[in-house]
Order: sequence, then C-alpha cells, then structure tokens
Amino acid sequence: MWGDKAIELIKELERSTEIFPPFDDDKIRLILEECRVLNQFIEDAMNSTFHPETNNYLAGVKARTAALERNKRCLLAYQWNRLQMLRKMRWEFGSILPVEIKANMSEGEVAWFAKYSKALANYMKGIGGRNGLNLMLDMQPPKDLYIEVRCLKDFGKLELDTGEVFYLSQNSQHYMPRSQVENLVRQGVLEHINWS
Amino acid sequence: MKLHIDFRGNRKIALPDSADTERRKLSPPIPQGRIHLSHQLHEPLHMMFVEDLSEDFINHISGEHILLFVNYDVDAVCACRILQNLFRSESTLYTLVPVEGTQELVEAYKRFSDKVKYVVFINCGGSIDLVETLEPEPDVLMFVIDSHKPSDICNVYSRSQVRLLGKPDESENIPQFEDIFLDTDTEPESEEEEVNEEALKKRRERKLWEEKRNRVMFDYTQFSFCGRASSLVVFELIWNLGKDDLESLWWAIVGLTYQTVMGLIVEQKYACELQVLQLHLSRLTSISQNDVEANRSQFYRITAQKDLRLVLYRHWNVQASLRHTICSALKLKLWTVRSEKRLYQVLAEIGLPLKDSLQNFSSMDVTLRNEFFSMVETIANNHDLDELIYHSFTVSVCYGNNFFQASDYVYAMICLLEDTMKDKSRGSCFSNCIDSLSPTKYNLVLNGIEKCKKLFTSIVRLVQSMLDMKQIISAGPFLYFIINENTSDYSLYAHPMSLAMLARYALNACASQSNYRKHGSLPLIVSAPQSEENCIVLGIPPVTEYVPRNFFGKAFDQALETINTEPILSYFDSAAVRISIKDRPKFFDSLSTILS
Repeated sequence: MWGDKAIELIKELERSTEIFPPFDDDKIRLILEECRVLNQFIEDAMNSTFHPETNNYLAGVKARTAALERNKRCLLAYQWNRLQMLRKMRWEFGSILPVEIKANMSEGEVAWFAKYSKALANYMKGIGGRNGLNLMLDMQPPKDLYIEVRCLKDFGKLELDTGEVFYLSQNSQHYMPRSQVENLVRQGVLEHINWS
Repeated sequence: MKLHIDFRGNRKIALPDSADTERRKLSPPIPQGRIHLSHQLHEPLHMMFVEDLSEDFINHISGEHILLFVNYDVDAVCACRILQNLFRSESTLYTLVPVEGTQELVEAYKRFSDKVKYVVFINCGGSIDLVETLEPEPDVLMFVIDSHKPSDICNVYSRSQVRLLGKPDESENIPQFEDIFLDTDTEPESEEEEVNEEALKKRRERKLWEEKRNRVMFDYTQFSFCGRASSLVVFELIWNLGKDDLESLWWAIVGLTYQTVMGLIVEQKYACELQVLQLHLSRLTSISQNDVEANRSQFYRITAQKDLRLVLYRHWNVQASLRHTICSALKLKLWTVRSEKRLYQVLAEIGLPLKDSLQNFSSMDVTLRNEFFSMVETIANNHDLDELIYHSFTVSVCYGNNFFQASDYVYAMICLLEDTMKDKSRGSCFSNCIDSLSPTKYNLVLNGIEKCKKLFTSIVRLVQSMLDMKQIISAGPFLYFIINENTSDYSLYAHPMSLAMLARYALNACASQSNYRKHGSLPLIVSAPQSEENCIVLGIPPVTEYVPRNFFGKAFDQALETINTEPILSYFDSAAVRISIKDRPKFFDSLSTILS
C-alpha cells in the first residue's frame, strides 16, 4: 500500500536504540521510487482528456496526491528529527563528533552540521564583548563561580583573564574562578577541596 | 639575668616618605575613633591597630586577590579556616601559603607576591619588621593577625603599610612613639663644625634619649608571650559582619583551647574569653533552632559544660588518661612504681571498677559513663586534683555519637600538623589539618587522636626514663636535655608543638621530683634532631612563672649573635629555633654565659 514504507521509516527511527541510527538510504530510495510512480500516474492523467465515464481519473488522482503528500511529510519528519538529534549532539559533544556518529550521517547532514557549527561560532563571537562568550561552558549554572583548590605539584605562574597572578606551587591553596581551573584539575595539577 | 640589647639604629626616621603619602591618598581616610591614638596632637603618631575590623579590613579586601600566610599552629589554622569562609562569601580570591619560620616567609613572599596588593599574616610576621624584611612594593598593604607578642615596634607604628588587627593589649606596654623614633629634621647635622655650648647640650640630650630608648626597648622586647588567640579576633570580625555560624564558633573555641592546653595563657584570660564564647553559643544555637531549613551549621551541636582536663579520655580508657595528663600524673607521681597503688586508690574512691577503667571509655557502662564527671568531681578535692576540672565545650558531629571535647580537637590537630613520620611533607600535613576542621571529615580527627595517644605514651615513657637516668642536666641558669637519634621515637619531637608538650611535661615532672627540687624555678631548654644536620632548640619558661612569658627569644638571638651563626630557621614562636647540630654545643655554652 502507498505510504507504508514511509511510515516504516519513521517507526524505525523511533524504535531504534542507537544514539544516532544510520541514514536509511535504501528505504528512502524506495519511497522516492514510489513517489515517482505516483507522480507519473498523475502526470499521465493530466495529459489525457477527461471523460466522465471512460476516463474519469479524479478519484485516482486525489488518492495519489494524498499519498504523495503523506510520503513527503514523513520524509521531512524523518530528516527533521535527525537534525534535532544532531543539534543536541552539537551542544553535548562540541563541534567534533565521534567517529561512530559521523559514519551514520548522510552527506547533506554533514553539510548542515558544518553550517550549524559555523553559525553558532559566529554568534558566540558576536556576544559578550570583545572575547566573545563560550555558551558551551556551564550549561548548568555552577553553584559557585569560584572554587577552592589545592595545588598538588609545582606548576608555576598562572595569570587569570582579569590580570591576577597566581603562583601555583605544591601545597598552596587557592580560591579562584572555576572556569580557569577546570583544565588544571583535569591535568592533575590542582585538586578541588570539598569541605561540605 | 642581663641581656644587652643592641637596638637597630634610627631607620624609619625620615618621615614621611613619598610612598607613605601616596598610600594615604589611595586608602580611605580612617576616622579617628577606630584607631588608637597614642598622641592626640600629632596625626601621624598613631599606632596601626585596626579595631573595627569589619569596615577597615573588609572595605580593603573584598573583591581583591589576597595572599594569606599562615603559621603552623592550631590557632592559626582555625583562624585561617574562618577567614576562608569569609573570603568565600565575599568572592575574594586568595592564595593560602603555610609558612613555618621567618626565612620561609621571606622566600615564600618573593615567590607568591607578584601583583598582589593585600597580604594577610596569621600568627606570623607580627614580631618581625615586615617592611624591612619583606621589602614589599610601596602600594602593598599588610594586615597582621598575630598572637605572638610583643609586636615589632616598627609594625606598630608603621603608618602606611602594616595594620595590626585586634585590640592592643594593656599588658603589652607598647612604648610611646617619641621614646623610640626621632625626627631627622631636629637632628643637628653640623656637629663637627662648631662645638659650642648649644651643640654640646643637644648632643647630651640625644645621648640621654638614646639611653632611654634602649632601656624602653629592652623592657618591651625582653619577654615574649602570647596575646589574644587569632581565631577569636577573626571570629569577632565575622560576628561584626553578621556572618558567624556555629561552625566558625567551634573553630574559635578550638583556637582558644589550644592556647590554654599548651599553657600559653593564664587561667583568668581563658575564663574571660570563655564567658563571651558561651554567650555567642547560646545566641547561635537559638538562631539555628529557629531556622527551619536544615543548614550546614547543624552538623555541629556544641554544648558548654564543666569538663575534665583528662587528656582524650572520651577516646581512651580512664587509667591511661589519668597517667598521661600532666596534672594528675604529677599529683599522684604516676611514673614511680609505688604510684600504682595510689592510682588504684583514686579509682576506688571515684567508684570506678578496675575492669571498666581499663576499657575504652566509649564501651564503659552507660551509667558509669554518664556519672563519670560527677564522680571525679567529688573526690577531686581530696587529692588536690582541682585543676582537673574546668569549663570547656563539647561538640557532637554529624548527628552521630561522636563527642569531642575542644581539647580532643586540639590534640588531634597538633598531631595531624606535625605528623611527619611517613615522609609526608609539612604542607600536606597542613592540608590534612585544615581539612579536619570540616564537620564531614571528622574521621581525620579520630585519626589524629590515635596518633596523639602514641605521642602521649611516648612522652610519658621518655620523661620517665629521663628522670631515672638523670638525663635532664642543669647548666646553671637553665636545665636542658637533648633528644638524640638513639632515643626511641625521636622523630615525633621534630616540631615545636610536640616538643613543647614534651618539655612542659618534663619540666613539671622535674620540679616535683625531690632531687631536682633545687632547680625547680629554672627554665628548660630541649633540643631534638630534625634531620641529619639540623636540630630544633626550644625553651620554655620555669614552672614558677605565673604569667607564661618567655625570655628565651631574646636570649637565643643574642647567643646566635655571639657565636656568629645565622639560624637555619627562626620559628615565629621566638623561643624555638632551628640550628645546625654541630653549632649546638657552642650555642649552649654561649647561652649559659649570657644568662648567668
């Protein structure tokens, strides 16, 4: 029946347990083929002359148009939902996606993703003063802007954006902006002191 | 005992220098009421004691980057912890560096001071001339919270760069400005050219003035003693700001208890401060009870009560605690063989079965546990053990059944701070110690208490053997003994606080021994190895001295000068110094000449 494959495509996407299921090329080709057949019938009908008894194609064309519309909607819905997923992932993983996900993307999706990243970067450059504002940081508002850290190894001088100079040497403790410290905590130079 | 004091020359005479005036422009004008004016007429002569801390201090520091130097002692750690909470609530960036002695401070200052405009010193720096020693940039402002007295006179009268936080103590007897400093303008410059009557007279006057100054300075610096606990000063600061809570109150209590446990302040002073703290406690408890929201302060439940001075008894057994407490051990002479009988007699009078007295206090019978205090109280009089009873605070942490007396905390923190057994660096000990003040990390305190039991056991054993072997030697004006590397557990005593605990125990034991009785009023110097080459030398005042003031600070300086050596590290407590082992005999010789 017309439209069966389209609904299958949507259902598959919904049923899938993968984070980002592969782009279903084959099914889409089949749907497009179906659309072409439907379209062919409508075109042929349009080119023939109408006769209420021998050549009454009205009902047939109406049904096929509806099927065509439905296929189109399903295809768009499929693509839209996939792009939504990609957008979410852009905020979660950043501009570079894991290889597994990249392999599942279609050509068009890759292009869209690059464009989206570019637009986002431009936007972030444009707001928040001269240096821009990284919207990716602190998606959840942090409890404190500053944290207490203890230095585990001698690191040397660290200058903050605001101009203060911190000398990080072993066993000194500091209270400093979270954003500047995160990297050093990951590197194991600093340790977050949790007192509460 | 005569010390000759050679007070540094007339530095600081040229007033006002350009940096000073510039600084004054930068800082807001200070209303007169807040500053102690030693001289009402001359504005520049006031002492820089900042009393109303809340405004002057906070206005300066909030939102700035602060450099915080903290000494290695319990009071300083407590004060620092309270300050950290304050800084956090003010979003003030800080860098905290623990320092142990003057030399370390100078080095650390050089490393950390880049672009820092505000420096806070806790229990360090007050008794050295900060401006001269650290050579700070002219726009650096230094706040000093130091319980080591006397404060260096240059810090007291520094008009621009140094501020001492807290009230000046009357007992300090700070000399008048005009007795110490002379304005250069009035000095006759052309003395050599014309020797007329006028000049001669002036010169005579100047000589008299100099003599007087030396005398005044000698009186002022002769004894070192302990002022108000820094943690109390800081607690008062945050109280004025309305940011006090039960947590910081407990830290202030621990800071104060440290001073009395180490015998640094007289009983009356402790009692005075105690009353104030009790008022704070009742105020804060009623607030936190009304507070419906479960806030952090409820981790602590503090009660003020009469308690026993028995060391760690809640975490030990009664017998061990009686043996290791100075006062009970002295009164019952618990290091002799015959003392066993006396101990049992006391236990019988208390009404405590022997079996229970050897059990952990926490596993003793509940009724005995609850009534233990009153049982001891009734017999305290008969055995001259009144000293055992004092007012103190207990805390229960984290809803659990973990009761700690303030002194338990102090002992645990001392041991955490000086636990260098397992090749731990001093810095990581400091981190441990400051962590142990957090209510959620009270198992660190338990850990410290275990270490402290070991320390006490070792102290008692060591004192006993020293008395038996007569290892405490009289050098004429003072007693001394040296812990060497053959002594068991020598590494426990490598740092000033544990060494001071040992010294106090030993001196008290000495004074009550009959064969040492004639030396009863002598001070004691102890020395312990710190590494292959270096050792620490520490002096404590005689038992008979009512006010615990210590003249060794000055004496050590003089002795080092005579033998022409620089100390490797001079601790902020001036009566402790680190020198090289091979200099030690010379050092002791020159000490005994100076003091006799």
